[in-house]
Order: sequence, then structure tokens, then C-alpha cells
Amino acid sequence: MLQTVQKQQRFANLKEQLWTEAESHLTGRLDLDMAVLQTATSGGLALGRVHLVSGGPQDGAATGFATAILRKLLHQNPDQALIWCLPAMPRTGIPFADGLAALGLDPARIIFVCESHPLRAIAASEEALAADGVAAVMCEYGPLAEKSDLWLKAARRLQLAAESGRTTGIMLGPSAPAAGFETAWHISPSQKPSATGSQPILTQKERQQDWQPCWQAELKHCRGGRPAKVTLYWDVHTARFRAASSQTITPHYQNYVYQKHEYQASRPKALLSHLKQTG
Amino acid sequence: MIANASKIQHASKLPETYGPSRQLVAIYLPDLPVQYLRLAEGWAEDMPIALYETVKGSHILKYMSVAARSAGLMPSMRLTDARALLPSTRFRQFDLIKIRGWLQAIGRWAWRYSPVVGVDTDSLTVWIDMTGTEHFYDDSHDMLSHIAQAFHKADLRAYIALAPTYGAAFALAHFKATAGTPVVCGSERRAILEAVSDLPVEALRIAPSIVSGLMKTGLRTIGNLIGISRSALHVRFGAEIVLRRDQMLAEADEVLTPLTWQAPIMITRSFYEPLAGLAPMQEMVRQLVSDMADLLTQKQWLTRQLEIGWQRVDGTIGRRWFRLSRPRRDRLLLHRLTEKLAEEIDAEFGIEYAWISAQKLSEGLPETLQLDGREQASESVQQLIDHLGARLGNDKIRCLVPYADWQPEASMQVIAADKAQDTYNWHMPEPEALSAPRPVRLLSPAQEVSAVALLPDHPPAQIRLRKQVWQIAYASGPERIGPRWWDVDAGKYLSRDYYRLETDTGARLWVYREGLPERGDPMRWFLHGYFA
Repeated sequence: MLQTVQKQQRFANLKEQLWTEAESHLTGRLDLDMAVLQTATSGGLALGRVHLVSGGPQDGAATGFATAILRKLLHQNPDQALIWCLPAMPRTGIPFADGLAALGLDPARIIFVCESHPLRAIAASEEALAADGVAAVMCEYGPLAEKSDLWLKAARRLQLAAESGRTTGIMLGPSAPAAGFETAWHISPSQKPSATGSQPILTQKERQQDWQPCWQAELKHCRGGRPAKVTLYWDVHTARFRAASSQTITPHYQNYVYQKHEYQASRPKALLSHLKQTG
Repeated sequence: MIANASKIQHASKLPETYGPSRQLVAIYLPDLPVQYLRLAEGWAEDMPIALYETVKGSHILKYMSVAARSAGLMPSMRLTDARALLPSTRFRQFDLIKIRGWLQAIGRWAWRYSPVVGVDTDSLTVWIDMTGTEHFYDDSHDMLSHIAQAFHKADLRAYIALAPTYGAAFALAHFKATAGTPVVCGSERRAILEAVSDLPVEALRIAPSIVSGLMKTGLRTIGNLIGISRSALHVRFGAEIVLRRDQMLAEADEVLTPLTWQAPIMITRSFYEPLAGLAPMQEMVRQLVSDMADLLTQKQWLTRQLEIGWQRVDGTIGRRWFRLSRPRRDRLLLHRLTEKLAEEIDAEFGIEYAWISAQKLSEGLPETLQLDGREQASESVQQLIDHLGARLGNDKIRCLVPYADWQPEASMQVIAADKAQDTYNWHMPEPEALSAPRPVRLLSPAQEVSAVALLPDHPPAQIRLRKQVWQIAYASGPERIGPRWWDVDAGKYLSRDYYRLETDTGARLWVYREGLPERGDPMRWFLHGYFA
């Protein structure tokens, strides 16, 4: 009898050890690759919390940034799933699988919860945040943030669910009050450095560099950190953020990217007629 | 000489008849795939239809309708050739699971003749083991004509044969019977030999490579094979042909796998006094679910669908179904799925009778738990899907499935997560590969914009969507995406030229121009997505 009790106790201890081992990385922080962001967030994006990522209604910058974060989170828990709650017909467009894949996130790993009712969508996100086996939860809140009482309540509930489930949540949508969230980001598209070079042929490398998304990320609020503003690139192949200034190769737009006034000259037919005219 | 001696010795051992013989009916349904497809799609009867399968990357025809066959389409023809030969044909991908499902449905229908019934999907054959059911019919012809008539009514060509072995019945159905007139083979060895000896060797159910080997040596009919000893056949053509020959002549046993079906299990509960009110309802549901979970655990079954029903005092019935994304029996999960049900039940004057039934059952052995006492990650995600599905509706939990189509809006399909068969592999861009850029958000449908362009075939310099005006700093493209030429109504769609635009604020847009300027099509501009 005594032996059984001891055995049970020992098993309980062993299980406890296994749990703490397995979850030690879950309570940590996500490396944001850039010194300025690491210091502003005091060591990285807190895991097991809810973060707010807002952006303009007519660009994909915020979605891109959130996708990048999701990919980093999935990389930490490769055998888990991602949950993405969104309205059935979002005004900002539906997530496009090939575009997600181009940012390095495998669309097959995402489970979409298409719920148009904002409160039900928030409730579903809460369930997902509290569940096991989920790497991250993304929720598109749409116009819900306009109702401040609901919004505060939702923020609090989601934060509690994320803490209990040790899952990281990302709220994606238009600008919204940051109170209650761990961090609040505003992502806007950033213009690339202007094309000055005029080389006729681009190397493969340069061509890839050009497709790298470039965003201006503004960290508006961070619990235990300070605000920051930075222009960054998302490097698809290494899955890292990079500062825009560290861009070594200036992207060229010649040959396949036509600047307005250059467009005509680079077309062979137009070139031919130009030559004819000039002699 | 030695081979001859062994044959004689062997033959002398065999009795002329073997005890109580078996009676097997084979029904060969060559038209089943196209006929069912035709009915499902509502196509006309004389429409040429062909099914193709993918073999080593090329599309090869497998089944076709009579109309298509008479126009010259043949099995193992290439899809491209067939398309050139008869462009009006409807082509569809061969779907093994669907065809097996149809055959099994016919098998279940055939349970009226015998409890032992099976299907052979590769050869489109349904078999019925009639052994011991002869006394239900006046004679075997009567029964066979009954079956033949049923298929005739269903407008399905059926080749039916009755023989003491499956091998013989199969051979006769495929190679001797004519549609509608069943073939019957006697139970003596001599009768089987007589019936099958002039059939080609393909009737033995052997691999095509062996058939061609036999053809080369001049062994064209089964009759040619009868006189050859087992050892000689085995040495030259392998064990399969010997076994098949023996099975056909009832010299070796053949184990056939019949269709099985697990009837739903049900637990009913009638109440001494009618129940009403929330607390009794909750207790009722809880008890029903607990009992069902116990029963499932005890019988080692898993369920994919639960039905809970109730009958009110006035005799009206209410019922509710719960679907599960995979076969389960966990008590906790079932309780979570049904926890909201009690609030939805409208008891009116009380409920006097309630039942729970577990449907779509499959066998499931007890699972091994993880050492740390928790479930696998995928397991808990499945539970989450079930739970959200029960709350919001199963069709709202979706996943993306790739689809081979170059039209951007058709390149992915959104399907319900519980319908997804497996995980799908997306083509992930490789570090050194160049792939066409795709936006992270796709507007569906595309929004028409007004654009200002220098020349008709130039990228726009400014675009406007309702009140929003974008000044374009850079443009790249065009990437031309044409309509699907194989579509019947391809003419309705115009070619699209996709441009990637970067505005002066850095927002990157994906717009396309519909119509070709050089062809003089009417041109319209559309915004189709936002890049990250």
C-alpha cells in the first residue's frame, strides 16, 4: 500500500518535471532579431500573451508582419497548429495561400475559423488560446474595437485565456486602443529606397531582394518596455527581421520594374521606333 | 516425362466432386463508373464520358462510356490523344474511393440475397456467396434472372455468372456472359473445366506482365494451361498463376473478404414521470452521454456521429446530431460537445423518452497514453476543432487546399476542416527559386478601379478605388494570366495582365487589366490584392 502511494508520488514528480521541461520555452520571449526591437520590448515578444497588430485597411503590411510573427511562433512549436479567426468575407481581402507561402508560412498548418459575428469570433479565439496544441492564434477583430467597453473586456479575457493556455495571440485589424494588450504595433508599408542604378540585367539574388517586404513598424505600447519606430525588412529565407539600413544591395528595377518615365525606353518596339526617329 | 508423371499422380488423387460445393455469383459492372458519374452530373445519356487516372505523371484513360468507345476512345489511351479525337467528351479524374463507395452501395443492396457479399473495386465486380441459400429460390436461374432484372431496371449493364469458385465466376462474368443473360456453371470439376477452357488467360486475374509472357509462349486460353504441371508453371511464371488456376478449379481455397457493416448502437431511457426544466434536461443528456461513452469503451468502438433524440408527452420528437472530426469515444469530449444541448431542448409539457445513438462506428483499441499523462498535440487540436465546430457550425472551421489552376482566385480551395482527408502539401518557395510574386491578401471578387495609364498597354500611373486615390511610383509586370482554354465557356473570360504597383507611400497593390489592348478588347482595371 505504502509502496503504491510512493510510486504514485514519484510518477507525479516525474510528470511535473517533464511538464516544466517542455514548457520552459513557452514562457520565454520570441527573438525579434533586431537590437532596437529587442531593447524596446525588453528581450523580445512575450510568449503566452496577446499582442495587437494594427494597420491600414488598404494594404497588406500588418497582415505580412503578423504572418512573419506566426511563422516564427510555428518554428518554435513545429508540430502544433495555427488558428486564424476571421470574418467570412473580410473587407480587407481573404488571406491568400500563395502569398502566405511566399512569406514562408505553410498554409496547410493554419486552421481558419470563419465567423462573421465579432463576439463569436472573439469567443472562438478565447477557446483556441486556452486549448493545448496550438502554436498561436490570430484574430481579425474588424470594427469591434470601436465599442470601447466590449473591446476592453475582450482584451482582458483574451489575455487571461492566453496565459492559461500558454499560447500567444495576435489581434489583427484597424487602429485600436492598446490598453490590456501586452504590446501594440502599428504597421504601415514603407517605400523602398529609390532606384538609382540602371543595370540592364538583375542577378537572381537582387531580384529576390526586391520582393522582400518592407514595413515601418511602430511599437506604440509595450508592457515593461518603451515605444520604438523602425523600418524593417522580412527576410523570407532566413525567417528574420532585418533593419532597412542594413540592406546592402540596392534593389534595381530595371528590366522588370519600370519606372514611369523609363518604361517606354525599355520596350524593344518603342526603342526601335525611337531609333528610327533619331536616325 | 517427370512432369507428366506428376500430373497423372496428382489428378488421380482428386475426386470428381467435392463435398458440399460453394455457389458464388460474380456480377461485373463495366459501366458503373461512367453511369453513376452521368447520373450525378445530370448529363445526357448519349454524352461521351471518360475517366482518366494519373500514371507516372501522365493522364491515361481508364473507363469510358459506350458513346466514347464507339468514337474510338480506348482504355490506356492518353488523355491528350483522346481530347484531340473527340473534343466533346467530358473527362473526369478517376476517383477510386468514390467508385468503391458505389460498388459497396450495390454490395449492401445485394445483402437481400445472401449475408456474405463483397466487392472487387479494381475489376468493378460485386460477388455474392449464395452457398446455403439455394432453397429460397426454385432454381439458381430464377435467382440470377431476378438479379439481372434489377440491374436492367437500373439501366446498368451487368454480366452475371454463377460458379462453384470465385475464380470461375469471375472469369465467366468477365469473359463469357453477355449483358442480361447470366451464365451458370455446374459444380463438378469437369463442368468448370468445360466452361472456362476456352476463355483467355486474362480471366485468371493475373498481372499483365504474366499474361504477355503466356501469350509469347502460345498459351492463350485457360484450356492450354490445364495440362501443364504446377511445378513447370511455377518455375516459368511464378506462384501467382498456379494459385489462381487452383483457385479457379477449386483445388485451392480462396479467402474472400466480405463487406461488413456495424449497425449503430443505441441506448434508450424512458422516464417514470415527464421531465421538464433545465436541470433535469442537463442530467438527462449527461447520463445518456456517460452511458454511451461507457458502452463504446466496453465494446472498443469509436464513433463519428452521435444522435440524441427525445420524445415529448404529446408524441412529437426532437433530435440533434453531433459530428466528430475523427472517430472518438472520450467521455470528456462527448460531454463537452453536448453541454449546450440541454438549453436548446424545448421540453414543452415534458419529455417521457430519450435516446442516444452512436453512428458511423469503427473499431478502436485502447490508446497508449503519453508518459507525461497528456495527449498528443494533434489530438488536442482535433478536440478544439470538434468543439468549435459544435459551437459555430462545422462548415465554419476551414482549411486551405491547393488546387492546380493558374487563375489566382481558383488556386486555393477553402474546405471544411472535418472534410479534409489529409494534410496537403503546399509548394513552399525555395531559397534560390524564382516564383511569381503573390499578394498576402486577395480581394474576392476583384474591385474595379479607374486607372490612368500613359498608353493602353502601360502600367497605370494613378488608380482610384472609390474615394481612395493612389499615385503609383513603381510598377512591375505584366504577368499575363490567360483564361482556361479547356473550359467550355472560356470565351466569357478575358486575358489578364497583372501588374505589381508600389504607391508613393509604399503600399503595394496587385492590379490587373482585363482584355488585350492589341486585340481591341474593352479594357477594365481591377484591384485584386495587397502585397505584404
